[in-house]
Amino acid sequence: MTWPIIGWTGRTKPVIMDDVSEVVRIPLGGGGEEPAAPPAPPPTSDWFTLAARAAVGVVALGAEASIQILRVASGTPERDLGPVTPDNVALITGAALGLAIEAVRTAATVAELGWRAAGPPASFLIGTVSEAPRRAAVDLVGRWNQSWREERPEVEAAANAVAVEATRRAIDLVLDQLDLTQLVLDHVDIERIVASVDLNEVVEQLDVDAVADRLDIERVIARLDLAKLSLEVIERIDLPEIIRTSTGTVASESVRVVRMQTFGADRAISGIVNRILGRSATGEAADPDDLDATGE
Amino acid sequence: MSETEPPAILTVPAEARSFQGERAGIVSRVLANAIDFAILVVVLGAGYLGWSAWLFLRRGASFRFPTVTYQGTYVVGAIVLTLLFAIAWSTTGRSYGDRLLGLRVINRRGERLGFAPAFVRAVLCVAFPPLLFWAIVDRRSVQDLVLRTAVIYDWAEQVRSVPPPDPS
Repeated sequence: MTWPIIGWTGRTKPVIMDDVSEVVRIPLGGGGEEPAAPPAPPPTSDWFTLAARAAVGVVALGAEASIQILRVASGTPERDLGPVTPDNVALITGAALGLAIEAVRTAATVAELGWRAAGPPASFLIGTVSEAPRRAAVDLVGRWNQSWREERPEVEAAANAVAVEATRRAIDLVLDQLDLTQLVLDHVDIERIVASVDLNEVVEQLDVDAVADRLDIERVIARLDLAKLSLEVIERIDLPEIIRTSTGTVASESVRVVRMQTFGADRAISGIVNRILGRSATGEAADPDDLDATGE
Repeated sequence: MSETEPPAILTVPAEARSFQGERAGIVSRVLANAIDFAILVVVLGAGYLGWSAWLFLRRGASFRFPTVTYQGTYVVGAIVLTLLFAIAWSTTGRSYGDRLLGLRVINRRGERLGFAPAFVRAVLCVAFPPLLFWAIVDRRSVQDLVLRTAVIYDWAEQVRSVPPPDPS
């Protein structure tokens, strides 16, 4: 027996058990404390009350026992039969015992009630004659009840353990049949959950340095097209211009000016010629046999 | 980016990039040729002085400056200029005048001329200089039309790494 019986016993004790024990305790407690004194015959109304309580107790105990038996029967897997069986036996025995106790007590009560109602004049005589067996019966029942009461926590614990195990397996079985992820996706508004999370706080608790330590920067760099990046940077900052302005001499600047001026002159002459010949300004560039490796 | 082809960095000023690769006009080409001619004169003068020095060392007291005839100067000048052009066009793609003016001579595939085409073009240019002036009309001299060559603006110092488009 490896289940945590003790922990479960107190928590899952059904309320109806308390009622039953209350019902049972009242008449038996009195009988147990004063076994030698001749018991005063209780009034008829008390007998009715006792009978009603007994009936309720019987029904309650019977229901409890039935439920536990059902739990054991339906939830205990085959492979666990070994460790569970003694508890099942104890449970069933306890339940049967309780049933028997209540049945005997109720029968005695009803018989006495009937006897008293049938023969009031002879009741005293017969009551005196039958007092010994009645008391013996009550004592026997009391002992049975006491033994049941002593065994009851263990029986309850076993029943609870069986019930817990059975429930656990049933839940596992149900969960195996469900796609929980899909259920969550279908029915849970993840956007709302995420919106309720304060990401800034999470980030504040994050050790960014540690993350950076774990980064493989070499691999990141390897994925970059550094040459293209460099070209873009050079283009953006106009590096050739910087080089020219920083190292350029008067001569190179003069050459540049001369080149630009001759280019302007070329263009001007081409414009004049084109106007004279009635060509478009781009006539010389529209030649299909153009050799220019423009590439620009 | 493949490692076989390093990126070409433009060293051309921004204002001149738009017309790089276009055919050069007549002014640029005449100026370039004028500079080349001036260089030819310098080379010829240096050659004359060198020849004179050699004669001086050989003859000593009987030395006289060698007589220079017009025909001789013309012939020698033509040969020297032809060699200068052919070597320049087939090696760097540009004579010194071309370099100063930012010009380059290419063939119809956009490549530098081989020595033979460069030599033929140099002979034609030196023998028939006036044919250059067809470039006023077409931006191509008659030599260019015959040899299917071109003179383009190319201010970049290094040879253009961008492959030319297929002219077919």
